Parts: sequence; C-alpha cells; structure tokens
Amino acid sequence: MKLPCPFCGLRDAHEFSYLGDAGPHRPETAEGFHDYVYLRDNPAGLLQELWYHGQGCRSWLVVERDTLDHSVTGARLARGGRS
Amino acid sequence: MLETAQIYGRHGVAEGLAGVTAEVIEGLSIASVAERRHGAAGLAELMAINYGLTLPRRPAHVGAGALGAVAVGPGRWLVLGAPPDLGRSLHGVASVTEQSDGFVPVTLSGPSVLKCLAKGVPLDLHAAAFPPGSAATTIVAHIGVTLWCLDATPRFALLIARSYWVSFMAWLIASGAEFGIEVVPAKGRG
Repeated sequence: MKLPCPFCGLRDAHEFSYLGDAGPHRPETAEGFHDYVYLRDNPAGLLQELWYHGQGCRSWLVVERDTLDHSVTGARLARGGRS
Repeated sequence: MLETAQIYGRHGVAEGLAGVTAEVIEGLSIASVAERRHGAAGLAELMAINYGLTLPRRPAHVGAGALGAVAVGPGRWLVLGAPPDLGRSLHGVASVTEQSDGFVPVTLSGPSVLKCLAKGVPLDLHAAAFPPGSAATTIVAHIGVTLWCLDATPRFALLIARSYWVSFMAWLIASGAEFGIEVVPAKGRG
C-alpha cells in the first residue's frame, strides 16, 4: 500500500505509522472522555484516519482510506494552515 | 561489525574505474531551521535578504554560494554551510538548532551510482523523476536518509545521522561491491 503524502509524494506505507480514526476530538471536560478513548465506529467503507510519516517529513496526515479495499483517495496535513 | 577504519578505500571489484565513488565530508556546518507559527513570510524574507537564498517549500535543495538548504518537512529545513549568526538573524521567525555533529554528509557519484542506490532507496532516482535539485527524506536499509540530486551526472548528496553512519556505510559498501566502490574523504571542504 502506498500513501500520497502531501509533502513527500507517494510513499510506501512502511514509512508511516498508524493511529486510527481522525474523527474523535478530545473533550474539554471529563464528561465524554470514556467515549473519546474507547468508542470507535469501525465503518465498512470510507474512513478519515491519522497516519504519521515518521520516516519522511515527520508530519501527521489525515488520510482518506476505504476500509473494504484499502484504496486511498486523499491525504492532507493534519495541521491546517501550514504548507 | 564494520570498523570506521575499514570504511575508507576500494571495496569489491578491484580492477578498473570504480563504479561508485563515495566522498565523506567532514566539518560542514549544518543547522536545522523550523519556522515559527506565522513566521513563514518573515523567514522567507530574511533568508532572501541576508543570504540570497529562496527556501524551497517542497522537497528540494537550493544553493546560493557556500550556503545550501534542503526542505525536510513542512516548514522545516536543513541549512548546509550555515553561518554562525544564522540563529540571531532569524530570531523570532524560526527556531535554529546546531546540527553539524548530528549528520555525516556523503556525496555519491560514478557510472553505477543509480544501480547501487536502487538496492536500498525506495524511490525512483532517474533524472526523469528526480532531476537535479530534487530532494527526499526516506529510509534506506532501515536507516533514515535525506538525499538530493546535485547534478545530472548524476551526483547525489546524502545526510545520514552520525550514530547510524557506520551501519549505513556497511550497506553502501555491500551494495556497491559488485561495481567496485571507492570511499574517500572529501577534498577541499570543511
């Protein structure tokens, strides 16, 4: 599998490490923390997920991947506003 | 385990012109430059005014006289031949960190350099895909490497973390042996 890093270009997946669903956001209070830590949707289909390009540009990316066939349809820097 | 003293010299095929020549550079001043938040415009301006250098915002290497810069990530560069006042002159727009001892720069050339690098570099380094000035940060034999194409000969420059340098050279010598590989200290640098 290859991932289209927005900085480096197309790179093999072994240069990256995987974190998971990019959807959950850390809650401001203790309320909702259990769900934030433990609950994931695990959809069959398109998923926005976090990958870290540790062996390349060392950037966190948001990658859109289809969990059914591993086709990757896009990737952007997780940190907005930086090019 | 390869000893440092065993790295220099001719390895593999002993007769004829070396297919690969590796020049190991010592004494090059290197600094990492990371732009501060909202510092991009100021950093670009200061680098242009003070050093005549346009920092690339994609994986590329640019040179201006004795100074060079290679982009290693979004808003991050390694500056080669970094002047001692770099940190002061970029104050407020970038974080500058001394890296001279952190990396060993190696230049690679010779008629078989592409065949040799193809054994470990997971990228297309052919001139059509990686013309002079192109740069990449990637992994070679499990060792992180930043490399760029110096000219169309082709010649390549590589930066290897110093603590991994001996391991990297073991890979390079093993990979270049079939072509004959010569490892020499670089002349006229430092």
